[in-house]
Amino acid sequence: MVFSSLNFLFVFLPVVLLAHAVAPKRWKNPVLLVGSLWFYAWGEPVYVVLMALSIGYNYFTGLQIAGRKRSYRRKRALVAGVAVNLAVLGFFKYYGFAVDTLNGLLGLRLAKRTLALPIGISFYTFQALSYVIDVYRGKVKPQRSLVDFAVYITMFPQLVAGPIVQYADIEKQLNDRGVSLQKFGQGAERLVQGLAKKVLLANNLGALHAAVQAMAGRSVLTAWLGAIAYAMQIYLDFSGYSDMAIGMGKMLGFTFLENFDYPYLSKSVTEFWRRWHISLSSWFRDYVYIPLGGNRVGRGRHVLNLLIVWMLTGLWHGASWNFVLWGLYYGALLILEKYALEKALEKLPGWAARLYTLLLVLVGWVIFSNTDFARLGAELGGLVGVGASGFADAAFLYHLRSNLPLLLIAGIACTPALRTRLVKGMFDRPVLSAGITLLLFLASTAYLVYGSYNPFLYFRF
Amino acid sequence: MLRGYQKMPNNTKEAKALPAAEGALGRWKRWFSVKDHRYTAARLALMLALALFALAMLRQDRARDLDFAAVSARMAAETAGQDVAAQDANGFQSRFGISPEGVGDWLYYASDAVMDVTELLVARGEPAQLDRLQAAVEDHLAAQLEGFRNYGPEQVALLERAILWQRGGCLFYAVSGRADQWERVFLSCLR
Repeated sequence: MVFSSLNFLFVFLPVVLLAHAVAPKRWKNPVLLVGSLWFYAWGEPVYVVLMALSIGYNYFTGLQIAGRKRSYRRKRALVAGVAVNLAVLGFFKYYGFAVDTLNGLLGLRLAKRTLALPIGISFYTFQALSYVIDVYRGKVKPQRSLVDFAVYITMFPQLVAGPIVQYADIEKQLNDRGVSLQKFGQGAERLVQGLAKKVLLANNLGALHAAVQAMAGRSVLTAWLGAIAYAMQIYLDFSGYSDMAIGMGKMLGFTFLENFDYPYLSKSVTEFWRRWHISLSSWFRDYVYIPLGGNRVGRGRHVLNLLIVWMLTGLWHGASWNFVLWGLYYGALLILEKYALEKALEKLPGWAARLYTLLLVLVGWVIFSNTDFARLGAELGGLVGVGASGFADAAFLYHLRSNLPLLLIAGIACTPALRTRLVKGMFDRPVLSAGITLLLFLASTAYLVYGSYNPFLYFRF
Repeated sequence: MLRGYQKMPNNTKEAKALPAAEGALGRWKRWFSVKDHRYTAARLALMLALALFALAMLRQDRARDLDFAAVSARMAAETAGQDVAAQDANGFQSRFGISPEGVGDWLYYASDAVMDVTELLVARGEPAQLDRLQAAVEDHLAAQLEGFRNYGPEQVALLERAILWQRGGCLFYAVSGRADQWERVFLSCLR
């Protein structure tokens, strides 16, 4: 079940919110757990078993690590816990990819089985890993209640598309969270904003991108238009999901950390990654980069650390070589900025630094969106005129004219302008605020009823 | 009574002598009375269950090897000479409005000509994924029918005879004068 579906909005969510609201305090977590399992089972009944086993395993791992006194025994329990989590993720997400790669590299003919990817496995495995590692580090106490721990792993607002919630950030809220009418209202508002970003903007940008992709011969400007549409689509789609997750979290009494901070306004690629998918960057920083030594090592080792982290970040996004390339592309850019461009970028005027970042990020999205390397080469070539049907053509003008309002609104939605100026100004007036939220909700619902293009970008995570 | 592993005798002879007197059940009870051991047992059992689950997933019919490369080759031979081209993920997405990434294996042929409605789609995946794909195909088919309703009688005739079904973890969709033939070839691959 995806958030931007009528079943979710009009059946699942009201039922779960109502049940959660009327349940006595000690029953709130069981209610949330049942709701979350229902949510997951809607599309993936079989994989509920996998998630339940994973929850059980990590629950006992946490207890065992905390219960052991000797450090080598604690470490042994941790290593086994991490290994099992990575093995499960590796098997269900990367099995086919590994077989394909081995067959390709070694000329083998290993049989490839098709396994459907359990939705959200990357998110919940990373949450489980953060829990067992933090218990080992003594940063958090082990969760004694299996139900509460299961709620942490399965909580439906962030189960499928994040943000990756670290246990330390939510530990207290699992047992002590307040749900006020004001908080509920703020959450609902955020949910609707996210829904509108996803349904009204991202889906239409996706349709524009798909239309450009379907064109046989493209001009340079058309290729750039497609790339820009995709860049805005992925941001509005992903941040829209995060908004919805944060909003629903608030409606249930939780406070999740922000996952995006207007990344397209960044003045360097390094800054971009401080603003994009913050929960994932933080996870890799805390559990991979710093344990590897971070930047407190020699230059060579630091470069290696960055490349390892970014290769893994790329691979996390999907079992395909283009994601590895995408990760390494960012690793290389970050290394370049750290060791060569940092001072030069500081001297650039703001608009030039932003343009530099945007161009590199757009190229990054082209790598991200093409799993086929021949196609990727053609797409990248198209951006600089290789194989293009000219610099501009009628198709470009047609798509630009037809989608100009959409592109403008989406462009504004990628900046804080709406939130800080328009929305803040208007939302100081509660009646107007409620009216706009209702309007956005009705428009999004109408689009869901009549529109058929509602892609789900995060299935491969 | 010994309540913890740490309190067990360190002397090997002594340690061996005690269990022998207790019997296997007693030894097991004593071992299990240590909390850490219970956690170990639970983790091992769950690890085993995870492995069995993974194995079960591999052995299920829907994950069993249908030689998709062979299916692709057969269907490619069948579509050769027709005015259709193998479509990539973008072509798939632009027509069906959903990304094919979650579908497992798939092949999709379609004509690039605007007035040609010929299509062939074969996909293999989880029932839920195929249900979603089937819904998308039905939407696409309805939109095609609507689009050609008033000025493309030949296209409408082909679209109305479209074949679309789902069985055994596979989905088949064809719009063509040769749709029946393609269906027969695909069914022969399934057997």
